[in-house]
Amino acid sequence: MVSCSGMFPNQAFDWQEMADVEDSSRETEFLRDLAGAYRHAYASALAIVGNRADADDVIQEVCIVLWKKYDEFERGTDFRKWACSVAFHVARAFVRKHRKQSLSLSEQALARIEQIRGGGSELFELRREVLHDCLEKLSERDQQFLCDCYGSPISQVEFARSQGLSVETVYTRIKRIRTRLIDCVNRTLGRGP
Amino acid sequence: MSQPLSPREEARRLADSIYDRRISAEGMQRLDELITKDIGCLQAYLERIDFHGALLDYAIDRRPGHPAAAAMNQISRNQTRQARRNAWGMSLILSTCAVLFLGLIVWVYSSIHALPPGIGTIASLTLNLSTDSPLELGDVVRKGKVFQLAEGIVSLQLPHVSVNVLGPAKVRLNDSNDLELLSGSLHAYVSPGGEGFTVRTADSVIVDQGTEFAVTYSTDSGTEVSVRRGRVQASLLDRLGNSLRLQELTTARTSLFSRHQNSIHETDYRPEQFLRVDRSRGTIRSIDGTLRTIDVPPLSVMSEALPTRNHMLVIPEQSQVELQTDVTINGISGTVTLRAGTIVSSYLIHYDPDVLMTRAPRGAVTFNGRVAVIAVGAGPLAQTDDLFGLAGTTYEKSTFRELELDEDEVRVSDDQETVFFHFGVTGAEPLDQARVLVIHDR
Repeated sequence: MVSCSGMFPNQAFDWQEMADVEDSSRETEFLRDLAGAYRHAYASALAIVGNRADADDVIQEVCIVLWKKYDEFERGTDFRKWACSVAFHVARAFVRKHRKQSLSLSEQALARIEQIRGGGSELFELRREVLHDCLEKLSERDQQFLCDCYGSPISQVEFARSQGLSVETVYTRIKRIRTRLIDCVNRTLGRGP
Repeated sequence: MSQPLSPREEARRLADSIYDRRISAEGMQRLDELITKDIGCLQAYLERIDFHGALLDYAIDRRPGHPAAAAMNQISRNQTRQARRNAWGMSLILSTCAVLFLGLIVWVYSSIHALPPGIGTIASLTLNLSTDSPLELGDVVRKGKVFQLAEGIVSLQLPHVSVNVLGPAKVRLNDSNDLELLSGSLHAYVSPGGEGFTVRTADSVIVDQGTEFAVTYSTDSGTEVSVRRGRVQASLLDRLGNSLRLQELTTARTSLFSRHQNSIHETDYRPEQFLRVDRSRGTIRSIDGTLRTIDVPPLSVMSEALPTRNHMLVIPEQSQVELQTDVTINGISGTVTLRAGTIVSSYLIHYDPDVLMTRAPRGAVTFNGRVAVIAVGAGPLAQTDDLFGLAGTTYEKSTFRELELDEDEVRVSDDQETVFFHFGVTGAEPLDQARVLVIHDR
């Protein structure tokens, strides 16, 4: 297994620090809920904004909204569903706010994305499980490259520069790995391209 | 020569481009077109974006710590600092006034844990709803709650009053009979017993005296009040909230209240102001379960034209029309003849799940009227399409639209005001439709 650790300093979370603050039980409970829902909320935001940099900005705002409104969240109901719903709302507001500065999908398209993506995630979950097995079949070199490329918070252009490669070289290589993974997923699920 | 790309493959490649931030304006426009018009392309886009999300997770999973925890780091640090400051302050207070401190604790505890009283429920939501916080049918709404809608319609059921908030709008619920329209439009239907219901805007106060009315407020234009039927009393306010002028409005009258111009100006009554609510709700009193309404008439309800995954749609069609001739329809409870002169409203129940459907929807809809007929067969549906269908909507003609009563359940309450639905999800053609005809007293 290739490890990407070491690329991300200062990311460790001090649970003890969190536990020391006032009303620790409520906060711990929130973090437990958030940890379970985080990836789903992130995927919801990503479906709306389409790229990682914007999704990172949106998810920060989502975490803050969820925490501020956590007292209104009814225990025993579906936190994940709530988190995804908040993520959709925050992401759509983000797109609206930045529409003049950057390319974006129409309101109608965003509404349809939310409608379909928010309706159920079982098929996406299945594809992710299969994808995980396919990732393990990649060479260590390709796994490492994928980790470097996707795990890096910088853009592809900056990433290529940091590696001393041309942008097209990085793009071509990542495209080749993606194609291999997608073929593997489709083969496993018995689907054509 | 290379093969032309299929629309789905095109959507996947454009998803890659959008993720890589290499998409052009033309590409974005094309992607928009594909995912708006073709659900298969939308699914292809979502699968590919989720693929990128999964690769991102794969890379980030190698980080020490959970990404959610990383995202919360900043929040927790701020809170720790705040908690330490609070602890220092508290120790000072304790050393000087223990009793006051205990009182403070009790007050803080009760402020945090005592929820404001519930004053109503969410009775209906439209499909295209976009709000600042998630809303579900049946949610209790509490005193002080602020609703902000970017689009869609939320219907609130308060005691004796139905309020429809029409996005974009912002509303604060002051009490069960008092709300504040901060911006946008609302529509209120006040039943007997609800007289005195009050709507406040920044420059006006509107007090109901048993009626159905609409209010629109913007800082530029002021407050427009339209009365569909009944009577309201409306006051223009100065900046201190003192009443400057008063006007009573009765059926089919509209006035514009403007603080800037210090005037109340009566304008032409526009019945189309009520059209959006009529389209969305018709004479629906409340809905429950996985049902949604729609506030823009669909262009088509043919198979795959209006997909609904895990919910059903209630589409209001004709509202309170008077039949000119006798109409005989074969419904779920047998053949029914509606006599000429009967006042009828019609609703199409539409369920057309896509491949990502995960559960069969169930729900109920309650009408302000008596359910006379539920048409579920292909023949009666086609017959009633012509009589009660929407003018600009294309209806499915194939017989597979009819309900399969061995798996689709439809029943009516004893008081004949509520219809319960539970549609099955098997079969090659998933489209299910039914038409409910509701009759009203004159």
